[in-house]
Amino acid sequence: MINNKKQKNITLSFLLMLLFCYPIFTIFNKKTFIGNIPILYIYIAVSWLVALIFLIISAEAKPFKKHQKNKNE
Amino acid sequence: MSKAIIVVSSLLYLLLLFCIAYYAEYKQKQGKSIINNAYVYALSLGVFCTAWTYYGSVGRATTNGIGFLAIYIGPTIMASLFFPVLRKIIRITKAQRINSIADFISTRYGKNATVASVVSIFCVIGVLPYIALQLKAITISFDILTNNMATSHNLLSDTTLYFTIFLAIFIIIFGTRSVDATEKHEGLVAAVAFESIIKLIAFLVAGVFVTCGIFNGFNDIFFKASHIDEFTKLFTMEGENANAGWFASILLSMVAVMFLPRQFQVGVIENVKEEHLKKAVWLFPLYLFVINIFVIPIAFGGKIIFQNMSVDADTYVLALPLHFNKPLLSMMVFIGGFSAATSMIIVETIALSTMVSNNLVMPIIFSQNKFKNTIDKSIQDTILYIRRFSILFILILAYIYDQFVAHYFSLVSIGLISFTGVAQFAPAIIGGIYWKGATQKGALASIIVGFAIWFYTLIIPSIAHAHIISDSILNNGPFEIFWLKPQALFGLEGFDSITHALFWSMFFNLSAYILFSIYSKPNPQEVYQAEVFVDIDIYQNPEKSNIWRGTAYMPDLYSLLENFLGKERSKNLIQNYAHRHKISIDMHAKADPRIVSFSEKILAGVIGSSSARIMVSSVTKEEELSLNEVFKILHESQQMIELNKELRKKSIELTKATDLLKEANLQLTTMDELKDEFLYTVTHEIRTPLTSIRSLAEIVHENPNLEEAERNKFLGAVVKESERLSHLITKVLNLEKYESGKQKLNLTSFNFIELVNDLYSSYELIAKDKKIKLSLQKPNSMLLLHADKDLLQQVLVNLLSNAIKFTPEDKTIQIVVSDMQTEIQVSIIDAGKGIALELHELIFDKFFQAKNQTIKKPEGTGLGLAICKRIVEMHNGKIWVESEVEKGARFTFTIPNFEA
Repeated sequence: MINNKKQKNITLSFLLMLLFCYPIFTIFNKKTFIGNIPILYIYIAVSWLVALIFLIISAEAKPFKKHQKNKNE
Repeated sequence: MSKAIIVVSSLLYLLLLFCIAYYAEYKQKQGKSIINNAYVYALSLGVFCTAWTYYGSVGRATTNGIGFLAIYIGPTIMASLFFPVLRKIIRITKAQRINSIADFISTRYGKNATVASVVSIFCVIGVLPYIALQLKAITISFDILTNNMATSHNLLSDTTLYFTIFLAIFIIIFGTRSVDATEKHEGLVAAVAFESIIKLIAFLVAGVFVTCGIFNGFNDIFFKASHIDEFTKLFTMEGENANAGWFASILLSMVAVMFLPRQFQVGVIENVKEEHLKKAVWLFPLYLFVINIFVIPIAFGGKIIFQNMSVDADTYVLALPLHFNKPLLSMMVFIGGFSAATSMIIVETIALSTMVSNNLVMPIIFSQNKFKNTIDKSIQDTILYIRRFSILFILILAYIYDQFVAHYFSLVSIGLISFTGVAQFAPAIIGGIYWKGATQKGALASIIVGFAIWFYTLIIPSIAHAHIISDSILNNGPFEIFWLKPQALFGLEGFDSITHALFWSMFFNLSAYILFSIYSKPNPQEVYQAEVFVDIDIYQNPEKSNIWRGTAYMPDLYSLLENFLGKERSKNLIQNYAHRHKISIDMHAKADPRIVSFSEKILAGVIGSSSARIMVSSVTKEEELSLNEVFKILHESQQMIELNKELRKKSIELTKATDLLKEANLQLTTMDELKDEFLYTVTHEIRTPLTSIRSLAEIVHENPNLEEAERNKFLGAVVKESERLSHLITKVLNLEKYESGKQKLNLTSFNFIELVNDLYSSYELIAKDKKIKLSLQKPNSMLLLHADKDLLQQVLVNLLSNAIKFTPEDKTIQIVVSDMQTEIQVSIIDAGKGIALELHELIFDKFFQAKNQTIKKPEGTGLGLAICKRIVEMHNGKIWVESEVEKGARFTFTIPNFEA
């Protein structure tokens, strides 16, 4: 179970890296605007928020799953 | 604004910090630590946001657009790795009583003093300018607020000097309470967490003022900005290598958020419980997100307002409220920036002073023989004074740097240069906790080579830009060697200086680390430490795998500890430890090896692991262990630990098995009891007819002169009783067959109505004999059923015979057959004396009669209904009774009709 959590964390970090780095990033690196705000700015703000939500879920959701599993075994 | 007001307010703010720190320590003494709290921990990590964030981000945003955010997105990504990486570092630190990042690296690589001092020196070089930057931020913001544009400062009239002195006093008071550097600095951490709140609020208020007070929201600012040509290039990231720069900044900040000395201090050393990480994982990135929301609006807003004025973009946060004549708001913003700067200075100074005193000053002092083997009560004071002087030394150095060097450099770059410097530790640390093969020489090479490249590619150009050395080196390379140009090393061009430096320094750093590790042999101590660091989860309790071998005497150890910790404390520590591990201590005999290791660890908390090792070995005679012996000990202890784990697992399994067995045993006992009761009933039932057969036979046997008619009557009775007996035995056998599952269903398709009709006609006669009326209610069509015909017939026979048995004369028995589509339902309704409600379930129980001797029981063997129940259930049907006493009974059973 501990390893499982470790794997989840590492997967999450890779996903976040992808979100903020080279290939996907260039999609939004354009002079397009939503309202008056550049799309790149909006993309960064939104994906940062998404990252925060993922972090909250991964840290707070069912932290004691491990113990429950043990009980069921 | 009046200078006096600002100075007084700042001093008041510092006093407030004093109060908070004092309160925190007061609470701690009462046992109610306020830093033992996940939120305080997460806030203290906010020390990542310095004056560089507070003022500098805005400045960077005006020239690079959103690129500055990489510094805060990196930590957000890193937060997802806090659990695997930072938690492991925290565990190691606690288990090994490590007190700084230099101590961490040196402890991993064999508690080597050289490693510790090299890391300490590089930390000071890398971070000192960063502290100076904070002082500079205070100076500049102060000047702007007082509108003091005088360029020349008189040293004595320089307020920054006084702030620095004040801060030094603060840090000395709350930072050097105890000689044990692993003890938490409650007061300082509380103050830093408080400052995180202040700077956040101040910046947000300024942001709201600019966005909503001066402009009409985000859209308005961007709308106005889009009309200015200069801005349009900020809306995207431009340049062919912009992505590389962005990526490099993310990587740098990911590393910096853990390994900057101040981050290591608050994140690892001051961590009270590793569970606090759980909140910090999302709260800290959230903090970074919130504090950055208004950076772009302030940057763009400032640029729009100050278009044609010469206002430094780094100061827009402060300049905007001043420009719009909001003195109170300006004051608030100033205090926010002040708090960002001071919190960084406090933590960084503490971290650096621990390193400088433990790894640079103390080894020199303790290598002099006068401290060895003597009881010197002043050693504790000496250590504290060394720490205090280190703090002063660092702050003075930072002040001098700020006053005389910093103005040559641009502010903005200092932060990133520091980040890149600290990143040089990353391979040695990360490799150290995951790769057992990494050696001391590898780590030393990696750090030295990395720093050399860092110095060459970032510091030399800064110095050249400042015209301290000729800048021809930048254009033509040293000695005209073109491919050695510091900013285009080996001809790598087109990247910004940070990306360029990061690439080359990491390239050589990693290469040196791996190559030297592979081609050098570790000493036994290194092998042991590598094992403990990488497998910290196994060696959480390192005393178990103690590798110290040699001779040591208790009095020597005691006097050593007393020198550093005082008599009382060292006695307590040793005795508690001995008690916990069941070691008996004889004050005048040889010391247990575990006590020696423990003493070394305690000392490590005070003077660092490398010095502690030297001190302990000075009072003991240690036997050199060969590599093989270390491996053997490690292997054994690992086996022990695994064996323990295995044992624990097995014992849990055993407990579970025992529980199951107990349950099964209980079931068996009840079943056994039931079986006894059943046997009792059956034999009882068999004995009744047997007795009458025997007495009848005896009568006939003993009276040969009986009359023919009489004799026949008796013999007839014998036959009848025998029939009853064999009938009973058949029933018992049948029941046994059904119960054990030996009886297989012989399924055939047949017309159920036909079966009922047959039975009805045969039982009509029997009923007539007893003067009972029989009525049948059935559907008109045929009812095809797929079931065991013989068994179903038996059910009907049993129920009907029961009904006839219990129904008095002149009453009616009703048989009702109904087709319920998915099943057929048969009810047999008698007019007997009825069955009490509490018996409705029990009567279907084969043990019913035996178990309920006290209850008034109906006549019969008590097996008929049990057999019916079994048969119906074998067909997946149900059987039940509805009845009240004196009102007859209605027995109903259903058989699913799968063919329907």
